[in-house]
Amino acid sequence: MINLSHIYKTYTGPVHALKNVDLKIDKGEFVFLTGPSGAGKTTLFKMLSAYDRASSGSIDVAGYNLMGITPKDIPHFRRRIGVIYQDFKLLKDRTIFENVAMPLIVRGDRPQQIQRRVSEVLENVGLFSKAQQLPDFISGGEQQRTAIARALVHQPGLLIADEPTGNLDPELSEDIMDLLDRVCAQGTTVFVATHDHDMVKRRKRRTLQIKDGQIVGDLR
Amino acid sequence: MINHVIKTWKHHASLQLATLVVLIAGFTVITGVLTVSNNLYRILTLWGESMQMSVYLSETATIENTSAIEKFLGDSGKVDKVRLVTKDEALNQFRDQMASYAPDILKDKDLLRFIPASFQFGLNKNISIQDQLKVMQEITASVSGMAGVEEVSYGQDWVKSYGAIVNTLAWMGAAFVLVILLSAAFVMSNSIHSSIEQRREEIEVLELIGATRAHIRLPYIFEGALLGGTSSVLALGFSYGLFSATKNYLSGQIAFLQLAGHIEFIQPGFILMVVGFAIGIGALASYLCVRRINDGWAASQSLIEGH
Repeated sequence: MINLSHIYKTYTGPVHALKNVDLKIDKGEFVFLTGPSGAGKTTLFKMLSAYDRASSGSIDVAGYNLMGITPKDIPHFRRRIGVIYQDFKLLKDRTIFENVAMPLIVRGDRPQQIQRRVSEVLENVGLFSKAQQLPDFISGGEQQRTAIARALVHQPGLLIADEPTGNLDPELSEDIMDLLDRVCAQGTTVFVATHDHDMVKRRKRRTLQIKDGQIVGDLR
Repeated sequence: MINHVIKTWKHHASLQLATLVVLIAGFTVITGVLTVSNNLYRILTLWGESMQMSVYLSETATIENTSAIEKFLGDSGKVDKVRLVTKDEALNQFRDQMASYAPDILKDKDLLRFIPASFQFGLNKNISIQDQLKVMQEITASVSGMAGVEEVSYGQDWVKSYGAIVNTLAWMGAAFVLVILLSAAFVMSNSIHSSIEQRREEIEVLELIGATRAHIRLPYIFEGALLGGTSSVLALGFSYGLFSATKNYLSGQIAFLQLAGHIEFIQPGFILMVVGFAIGIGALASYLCVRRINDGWAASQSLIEGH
């Protein structure tokens, strides 16, 4: 599902955000990515989700070569993955329902299907009652759950989550991780970046460690 | 797409309103310039229509000569309302005009003997004002050589000055309209550009969830076209109000110039052209702006540009 080889990401300065990263994640795996702030977790996720381009190396995700992907193919690739961004990236002028429905709308799903599927996902993340609210009128945790719902609504083959429980209380965090477990059990590959070492220990999943832009550990 | 426009207005009302005001101002200037230049041209044309040419016949002109001249003028297709003024008619006219100014001159029989018969005519209305001088010179050259013609007169100096003024004004008008159009297009496209730039995040998010170019761009292009069209219609209404007020002023305060009857608002063809231009510039400005952002990597552009 994910195959990275000799990935470098260098920003002007030069700042080496990623250095010679090699990584392979199989279909259906649940993998944690841990590391201190500034280690390169978010940068790595940006490369994997075609949010940004790597400086060199090769990236294959969900059957797409992201180093040579054409502008025409980018939307099709992004429809096959689900991404939970650290800053949520919700549209403030659209309701929670509309935000979550967007991946289905751009895919061209029928309105009835959209209604049914969005309601189902909002129910799963406990936001059904807030469906008609605007993002600015709900809490940070609820915004995070909205972002999770949007990443899951189109049942992607790969879910990339950057600190998906960062703003949630421990109980809700466990609920969300249970939800991601269920998603993984249904065949979706899940790749989660987190600071929560206790949760990583409890879940007993493959864990990659990143430090100074390099993968320094791979615990299975 | 209508939903997109409604949402945009709902959530970015002040930005949209500011853009609309700038566009209305731009189109009001364009409409105003078109109205003024159009009416200036009409007034100049009216002056041109009142221009008369005279072909004075010699003392020795025969009936055949006169007929030949009349036939030549009639067949040329360049003149209108050819009228033969006989010596008696010319004399009577001269008497009528001069009686109160110089009664003694009417007693001078030798002088009156020199008043010739002539053909009086105007130019065909289909001849543009820029071509009038050239046509008059051509007629003069052709008729002067004919038997029985003493002299051809059309107020040569005045017509030359008039032609120069008309040509200068036509060129200046065209250049001015072009400059105004380009400036208005620049201001309007910048205004739309700024409006879209402030909603850059929306384009980024749409890209990140897998929206295609068409899905992202079409609503913005439609919005730009609608903004352009609406602003042009409002500007036309506003300009018509200004025009009516000006016309009322002309017919009331300076009625002696008799201009009010001759000026009119821009023609329906021009109105359609203004609205079409507005829709086009709105759509084009939106398209160019969205295309620049929506290259598939809008979010990473933001990282680089520090948005």
